[in-house]
Amino acid sequence: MKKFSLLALGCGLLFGLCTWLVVRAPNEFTMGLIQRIFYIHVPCAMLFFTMAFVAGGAGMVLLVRRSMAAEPWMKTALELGILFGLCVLVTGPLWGRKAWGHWWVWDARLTTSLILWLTLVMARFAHAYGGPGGAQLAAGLSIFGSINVPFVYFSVSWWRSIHPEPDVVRTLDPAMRPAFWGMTATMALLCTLLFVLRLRMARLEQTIEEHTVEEELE
Amino acid sequence: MPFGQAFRILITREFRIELRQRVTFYAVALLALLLILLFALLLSDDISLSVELKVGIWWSSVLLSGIWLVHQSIHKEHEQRTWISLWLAPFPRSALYATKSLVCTFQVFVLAVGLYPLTWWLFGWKITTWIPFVGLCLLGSLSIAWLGCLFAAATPRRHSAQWLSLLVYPLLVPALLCTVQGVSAASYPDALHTASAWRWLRLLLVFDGMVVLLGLWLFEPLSTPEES
Repeated sequence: MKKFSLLALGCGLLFGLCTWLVVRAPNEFTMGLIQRIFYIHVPCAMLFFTMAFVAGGAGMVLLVRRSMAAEPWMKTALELGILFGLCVLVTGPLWGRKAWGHWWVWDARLTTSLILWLTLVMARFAHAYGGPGGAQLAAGLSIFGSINVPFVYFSVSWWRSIHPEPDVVRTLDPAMRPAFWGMTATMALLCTLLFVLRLRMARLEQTIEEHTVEEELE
Repeated sequence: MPFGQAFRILITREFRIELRQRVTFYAVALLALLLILLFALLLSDDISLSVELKVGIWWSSVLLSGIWLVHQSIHKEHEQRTWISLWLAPFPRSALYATKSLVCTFQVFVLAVGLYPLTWWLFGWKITTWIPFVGLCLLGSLSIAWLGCLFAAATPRRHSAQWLSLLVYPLLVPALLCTVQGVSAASYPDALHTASAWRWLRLLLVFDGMVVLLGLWLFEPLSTPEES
């Protein structure tokens, strides 16, 4: 537990440092101050996609190899995917309200992101309330969710969209890079920390469930 | 048993059953008809509707009734205990899934094309380029049937209708978007819109390709009861 406390402390310190970097980063030419939401929005989107992939991979292992060890991984990835997806879906409209004048537009990127988030929510819902076989259903949905990720990513290029192109990170002003990459690393660390903690909890839950079933059988 | 042989036996069986018990198809067609009529009543003549909205109404009716058709098709097998017999028979399970999905695709396609004259009459929506329209109807039906069958076979037996709707609708949104946008584009006579309809068709083809491949691969592990 001490190890986690230290990691959490490190994560908190990094957040402080990154906030300072974000404050010091120059204002974007057209959008001004509101563009700073980018430093939260994009790392969250990256983690949202990563978690969708992890959930899909764990789902594949669960279905194909029938390995129940993958279940806590899938459950954890789904929950963190939902959490980071929610951050994306909240920060996006906040930014969009100022940049486009609307909280929400039925643009390709926004719509596909919402679909991906809904798929993860449905997968978690199926896992929690699907009864026997719920984990399999959740695994199937997670796999379909993970194949949606490339659609979300390339939606900006495939459809006419008002959302910025994916090359925005590559073409970022060099003065903005430390704040962006610092925030990305911090968010990734936070995600890892949450993942490890939740995974541990999910494994314990699984063990308790198995013991309860065994006791009931006896 | 090889896939081809199993496929031949199962597809004949599926078509025979559907031809004998036409009640599901008729009930579903009636539901789709009622949905279109309800929309026509709600949206009176004095409101000018865009082509996209007319196509949206038509395809939403197909989608809602199509999912119900798929659910009924699998539910019927469970109810009459034929599903378990098929599961125990020495057929490759992917053949079972492919035949069930193909028959459902055919029925949803017939439903979609059959509803078009009514929509044309009620809303004055006219198709100008037929080949992309038929292609989009076919591929749209395919995504409804193949995704529907995959999850209908895997959902908990009790409350399966509610579960199926909850699970499948979010996954079907890309197909829904492609079909509605593509068919809307096929309703305009100019070359630019026709090219757009073909683009949507290609995108739907990619989506369906992924659904079919994943479906064939996942059907067996997804529908086999969990070992504990």
